[in-house]
This record gives sequence, C-alpha cells and structure tokens, in this order.
Amino acid sequence: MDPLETETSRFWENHGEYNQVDPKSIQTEVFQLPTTCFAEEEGALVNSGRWLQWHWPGGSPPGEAKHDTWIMGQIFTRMRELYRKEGGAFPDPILNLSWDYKEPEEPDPEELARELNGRALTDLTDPTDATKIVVPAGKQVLNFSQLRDDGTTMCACWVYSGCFNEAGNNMARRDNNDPGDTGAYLNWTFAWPLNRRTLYNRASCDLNGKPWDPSRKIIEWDGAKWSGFDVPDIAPNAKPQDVGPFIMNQEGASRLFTRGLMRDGPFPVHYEPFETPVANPLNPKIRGNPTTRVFQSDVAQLGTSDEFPYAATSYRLTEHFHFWTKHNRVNAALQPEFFVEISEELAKEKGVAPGGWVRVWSKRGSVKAKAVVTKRIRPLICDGKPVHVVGIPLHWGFVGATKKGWGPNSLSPFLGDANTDTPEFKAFLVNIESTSAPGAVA
Amino acid sequence: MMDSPRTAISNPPVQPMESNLTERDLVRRSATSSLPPPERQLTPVAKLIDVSKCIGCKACQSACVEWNDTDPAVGENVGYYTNPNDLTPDMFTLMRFTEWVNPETDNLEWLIRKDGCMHCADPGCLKACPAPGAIVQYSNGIVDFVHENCIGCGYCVKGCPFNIPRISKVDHKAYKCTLCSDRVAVGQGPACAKACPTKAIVFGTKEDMKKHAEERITDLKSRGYKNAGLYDPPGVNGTHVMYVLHHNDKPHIYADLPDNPHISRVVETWKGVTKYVGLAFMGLAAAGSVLHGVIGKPNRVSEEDEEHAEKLVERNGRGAG
Amino acid sequence: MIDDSLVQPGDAVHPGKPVIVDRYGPGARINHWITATSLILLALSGLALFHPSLFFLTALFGGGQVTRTIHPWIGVVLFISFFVFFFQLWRANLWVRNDFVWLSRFTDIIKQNEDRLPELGKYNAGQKFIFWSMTGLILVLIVSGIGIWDQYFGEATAIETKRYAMLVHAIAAVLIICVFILHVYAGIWTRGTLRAMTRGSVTGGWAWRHHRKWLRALASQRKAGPAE
Repeated sequence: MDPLETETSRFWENHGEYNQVDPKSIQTEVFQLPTTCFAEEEGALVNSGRWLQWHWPGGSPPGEAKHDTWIMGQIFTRMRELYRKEGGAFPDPILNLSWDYKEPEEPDPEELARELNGRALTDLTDPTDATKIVVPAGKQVLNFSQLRDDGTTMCACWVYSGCFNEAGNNMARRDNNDPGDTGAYLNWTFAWPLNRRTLYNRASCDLNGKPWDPSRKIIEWDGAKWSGFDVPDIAPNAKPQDVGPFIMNQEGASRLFTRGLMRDGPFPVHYEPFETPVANPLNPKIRGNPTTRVFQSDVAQLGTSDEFPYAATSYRLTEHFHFWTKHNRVNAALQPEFFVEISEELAKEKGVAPGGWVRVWSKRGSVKAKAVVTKRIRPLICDGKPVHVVGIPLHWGFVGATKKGWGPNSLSPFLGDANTDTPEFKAFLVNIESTSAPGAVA
Repeated sequence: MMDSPRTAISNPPVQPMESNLTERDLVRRSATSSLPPPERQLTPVAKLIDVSKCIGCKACQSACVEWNDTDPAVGENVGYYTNPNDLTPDMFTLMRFTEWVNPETDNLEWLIRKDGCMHCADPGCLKACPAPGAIVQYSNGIVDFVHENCIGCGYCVKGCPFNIPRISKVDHKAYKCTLCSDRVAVGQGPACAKACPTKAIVFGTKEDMKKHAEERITDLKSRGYKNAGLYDPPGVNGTHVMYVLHHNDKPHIYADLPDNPHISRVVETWKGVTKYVGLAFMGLAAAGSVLHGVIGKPNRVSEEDEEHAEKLVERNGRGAG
Repeated sequence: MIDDSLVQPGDAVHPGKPVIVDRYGPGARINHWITATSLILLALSGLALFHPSLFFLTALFGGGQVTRTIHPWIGVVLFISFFVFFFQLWRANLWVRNDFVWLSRFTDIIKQNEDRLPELGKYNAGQKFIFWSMTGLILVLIVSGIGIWDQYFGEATAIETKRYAMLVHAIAAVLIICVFILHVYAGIWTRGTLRAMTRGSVTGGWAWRHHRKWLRALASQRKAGPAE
C-alpha cells in the first residue's frame, strides 16, 4: 500500500544496470494497492513538537487510489468472513478483534481518533464513593489519568489520551491566542501527553518554584500548586523543594552517566565506525563498538581501507524529501540526478571532471553517479595521512520522475548503533573511479 | 482602485478584485511612439534579495513554477547544484551557486544568488523589442511580457544587460520573471517572496526595501563584511529587483552578475541612430528617384539608334556604323 | 585588363526592323525574378521589424510570428537564387579601365550626353556597381542573418556577437534597399531596359545606344552563326 511507486515494490522488475534481475526467476508476487497522499486524507499530522494537528482533505484521491482505512477495512472484513466460514489454525484473534465502526469496511478517521483517546467500557465509579459515576459506560475518558488496568477502559495509545475526549476533537482546535507570549498556544491543537507543550517544564523554575527568567515564565509555584501558561509536568501540588523536574529519574535530577538502559554505559567512550580508515587511537585493537549486535554474515561484508581507502558519508538535500519527492516533477527539475561530491584534490587524482561519471563501490555494492567537484569537501588529515571524503546524497532510485539512479543504501554496512540500532549510514568506506555512463535501460 | 501592495505576506483576496495593473498604468510600451502618460503614478515596488540570508533551498524556484504553472524539463546534473543549469522558458528564476575563496580571509564562501529579471527602470528588452505592446512597463516599475503580442524574434535577449529572457521552442515566445504582476495587481506579493523560508526575499515599496536593505547592510558590516552594499545599478536607472550583497564591490563573483550593467551601446545605436538615419536614407533614395523620374527626361532609344544598329548588323559588325 | 567584349552564352543578334538582341535566356529571367521577389519580401518583412511605424507590414505575411519565422527562410532563397545568378554573370561584371572613365563622366550620363562616353560592353560601371554591392551586401546579410536566426542557430553565438550582427544586418539591409531602389529606377529611367528581363531581348537601337561594344561583338560573331 503506497501512494507512490517504490523500488521495493518493483524489486522484481528489471531496470538494466539499476536493478539487474530476472523476473522469471523471482517467486514473489507483488500486489500494489494505491493509497492517498496526506492532502487527500483526514487525520492528524504529528510533528516533533508532539502536536497532533488535525487536518482535512484538500482534494480527492486520483485514479484508483483509496484511503488506507478503506483498504484495511476491505481486507479485514473479507478475511474475517473467510475465517468464520472456513475456520483455521487459530481464528480467535481475527474473529474477536473489536471492530465497532459504523461502516466496518471503511472506519472513519474520527472513529479511530476516538479509540486513540480511549473510553470507559463500563460505568467507572469513583474509587472512594461507589455511587459516584466518574465516566459513564461508552463515554470518552478525559485523559490517561482515567485509564484503569482492570479491563474497564480501553485506549489505543495512552500518550495520546486526551486528544479526542467528551469536549470534542482537541486536535482540531485552532485558537491562536498565546497569553504570556510563550509560544505554547495551549488551545491550538493537542500535544501529547496531556497537552503539555514543554516536557520537564518545572526545570524552568528554581528551587523555590520561581521562574529563572520572569520575562519568559512558563509555570510557577504559587505556594500551593503549580500553574501557568503550560500544563505542569509535575504533580500539581508537589512542593518545589521536595520534587525535582526530571520526574522519570527517582532523584528528580539529570545524570552525567547511565545507571542502566545503555549497552555501552556507564560513561561515553570513543569508538570508530566499523569501517574506518584509521585505527581507534584509544583502543587500537577494537573494531567499531564491541556491544553492537552484528550478524556474522554482515561482519564478513565489512571492508578495510586497503581495498576502500575513502571515507563515505550520506546526507540529504533541501530540494528533496527522502524518496517521496523524486516523484514530483518540480522537485525532479530542481535536483534531477544522483550525484556524489568529491574534493578538487580527489577529482584531480582520479581524473574526474565536473559532471563526469564515476563508479563508487564498497564491500557490499557498486553504484554509478555524476561527480560534483567541490571546494566544500577538503581532504581530512587523520593520523598524519590524508583521508578523502566522498559525499553521497540520497533521494534517487530506479522509479520516479528524476533520472534513474542509485543511493548510498547500496553501499552502506548492515549494522547500527549499539543502543538504538540507528544504521551506520554516515561513516563507511568506499573506493571511486572514473567510468562511462550506465547502459541504456530497455 | 488600490495602489501597489506593501508586503508579500498577504492572503489571497476572498472576493474577485479588479486588477490594479491595466493599460492605463503603462509608462512604456515596446515599439510604440506615442503612449499617453499613465492616469496615475503607482507607488514603485521592489523585490529585495538578501544574498547573505539565502540558503539555496530553491523554494523560490518551486513557488515560481507552481504559480506560473510552467513545465520545466527534468534535465541532468552536469556537475553543479544549480539546476536546471540555466534559466529556461519554464524556469523564470534560478539559484546560481558559486564556490568563492575570499582572497582576504582565505575562507571559502558559498555564494548563492537568485538569478532572474531585474525589472530595470530603463529596460533594455523593451527598447529592443520591435513588436508593439509585447513588452510593457507599469508605473510601479514592473516590466512585463504580453505574450499575445510577442513575435518570438529574440531581440529582447540582445537588449537585456543581464541575459534573462528565454525564447520557448514550443510556442516561440519570450518568457521571464513577471514580478508576479498578476499577484501584485490584486494586492499580494510575488510567489517567491511568500515561499522563502528565511525571508531572504522580501517585497514592498522600493523605498521600504531600500530602508530594509540599509539595516541588513549595517548588520553585515558589523560582522566583518566591510563592502556589503545594495545592488541597484545606476546604469539602467536602478532596478525593481535589488540585491544585498556581502561583497558589493565585486558583483561579478556572484555567478557573473554584471558589475556595471547598462544597455549595450550597440543596441542603443541599432535602436536609435540607425532607425532614423536608415529611414531617412531609404526615404531620400525613394523620393529622389521619384523626383528625378518626374522632373528629368527619360533616357530613350532614338530612331537613329535603331538605324545604326540595323546597318551594323547588315555589315556583320564591321565598320564604324 | 580583361577583354570586356565577352559575350555570354545565349547572347545573340537577330536582324530585322528593329534588330533584336537576345540578352537573357528564360533561366536567367526566372532566376532574376525569384531573386527580386525574395528581396522585396525580405525588405517588407525586414522593415516591419526595423521600425515600429512599419510593423503593420506584418499583416502581409499573416502576423508577427509568421513574419519573423519566414524572413530568414526567404533570405536563404535569396542567397541561393542570387548566387546561382552570380555565377552566370560575374565574368561580365569584372572591372575594366573603361569603367573608371564611365564613373568619372557620371554627370554626362545623367544629362544623357552618351557620346562623350566610351563604348561599353554588356554591363556599364553603374550596373557593375549594383552587381557587386548586391553580392557584398547579400553575403553580409546572410552571415549576420544566420547569426541572429535564433530558432536554429541561437546556441552558436554569444549575445554580444548577436548585438553586432543585428546592427550590421540592419545597416546592410538599409543599404541594400537603397541599392535596390537605384537599380529599379535606373532600369525604368533607361527606357527599353525592362524588356530584357521580361521578354529576354532588347532592340538593336538600345544596344547601340548603351552597350555598343557588346553589339559589335555580337554582330561580328553572327557571321559564324547559323543562317536565319
């Protein structure tokens, strides 16, 4: 399901040098179900400020494209029917999945949003007074504070709870008043969790609960409780002298070292990338990070600087967004073709002219690109030796409106950060040479 | 009717509006000898491009394509960030990237200049254009191409000191930045200014833009750019698209921005003296001939001449005849 | 010096009352009129683009775009047509001593004192002037014209080169129009000339009066020619 063509869904298709495969020998069948783009959908756009801004479609889906929810609804209801008729090894999770939408074949975004918020499945009573009903059965909970762990409430995502309660769709609010001029805009959309705009905001105040900078106050202790222009990220009546702002740590303060949760703690240590032109000056015998999980077959695909003398890194351009905009004819005109950047020194060494074709290869793969020769990359001097850098922007592939191309992913190693598994795409080794244009694609 | 807009950041009108840029607002019209003066003087507008704030994101290029609904081709990368690698009839503006090592500081400076029509106060394109009404200039300074009158001769390309107009191979007409005259006509600013994320491109009255430029130049100078200045070239009587340059003492480092642009003397001659003298010459030749023909005696062959000829032929060419 | 008693292939004299002298065959005449027509069309289309007051002439061609498109193509026709003609006539137009004499006595020509002039071959100095200036100007026009024929040759020259090409083209065009006016007028003022280019022949008297040396050469050749 994709609104745009992807290399993954076309992996079976021969694109000459760009994807040299024999479709007849591939046994996977790909069904492409075209979906909508964001501007054709109703839903929440979540940003790094944790805002869940609700938006409505600006246009209808083109051609045969359908909303994701329609496609999922169609697949699910048909499969459920099949399981009902034919049974199966274990049909329970399919048959008993709650699917209480007005139109089972096309759940509505608002219905889904209401599920994200959560609701009471039975009458929720006040723990101290059983006659008082706090949330009647079937009603939305106010926020996660009303969720229980005894099966009486449901919620699809507790951090989002509060986004669509009985007050309505809080994500759709558009009040752009900002009392105090803090940039909080508490009534513009809903921010998870609990509409809190700045996490750990008690840190904006001193030990007495007074703001460090009164001209930029967010919250304040008034002697009895915390309040202000943001939702306090602390119990409302926690005394400032007693409770520190970093509430996820028992001591309420931040730490300079880790006590747990990190594979390579407690202190930060210098490690080189797994593929590096120089040995780790602090620990020359260690390759990469010793606590990283790597499959042995991937270790076998690691190269050394004897064969691959140049340090490669990957990055992005402003003209494109990931692999999406290569399908847009305007973006394609602004950056039409896969290129790599090398220094003037490396270009001279290899006899590469600006705009000439180069082949870049690693222990794992080989690509061809146009060369951009730049003063912005200068050879690094590492351990007394020059190390040339090859810059490899991503954004191109063998489908899209741009010229066909490759990407750094054809070259980078299959391993990642020891703690987060973030792939090591920014530092690996390659070799480079002048070459001729890729052959024409049938 | 309203005057020129003061800002690019205005929202579209909610009611249909009458355009404030009409035939009655023209101060110049190509190949037109007697143009009546405009009915009123609109406040001159200007687009100010602060090169020091530009990040080369090309939002302005996309906005221009989207607003004007052009269809730029997907070319190839010939080794640069500048794409397409030149202005085209479908790309009215272009970020031109130059890597320049400052000889005084030995620092590498990545100079990024938004190229496009400068909307000169003395437009070379208009002077060169032979088609009446194909190029016009409004009293607010905008120089616009009127495509229904364009004959595709390319004289505008020769007239322009900045090498801006481009002739389409599809409809054989000339294209360039319009300073969003259609948006300005209903109180908005140009699409590029609206899209620019760093406010490197701003728009308003020329006076306001010059004031804003002064602030920017003061700021740049305080940061060590002692030759920062405003590019508003006097050789074309000033322009309605201006630049704040970090190094205004050498505009040419910004992808060959002309240091002292002016309409070529060759073009001035071609469109000036040659026209009058040429017409005079041809007129004199024609008139002289007619006069001589009327007044003078035609050169006729006489009977005597015929007889001489007959005698000569009889004697097979011999003798004095 | 070159013998200007040269007669061109096809020139012949026929006795009679009046004597008829063949001056241009059918091919030459067609060639000339193609050249003339294209020059006229070029002058009209060029003038339309030269001065705003003459822009209305574009209506003759179907509008500004058509005028601009078609002008260089007609220029190519002119160039080819004229140079086909050129290679037929150039020998007879080479400069001889007599031409200096003729030029120095130009006022006599205007006053029709032809007796004071030397006997002339097929072309007098005035005609040779027309011939060579047309040749030179057409060469200048085709070269400068290609320089500004943006549709096909736009990439071949720099803008600065094009500016000079425009100026040169305009000046050469003005001059060629003046030469054209002179040529047409001279052909009309000298009565009996036009038929040379329409019927292909002139009278003996005309030849006697204006190109006696040519006539003599043709008459003496006649003895060797076929009997009438």
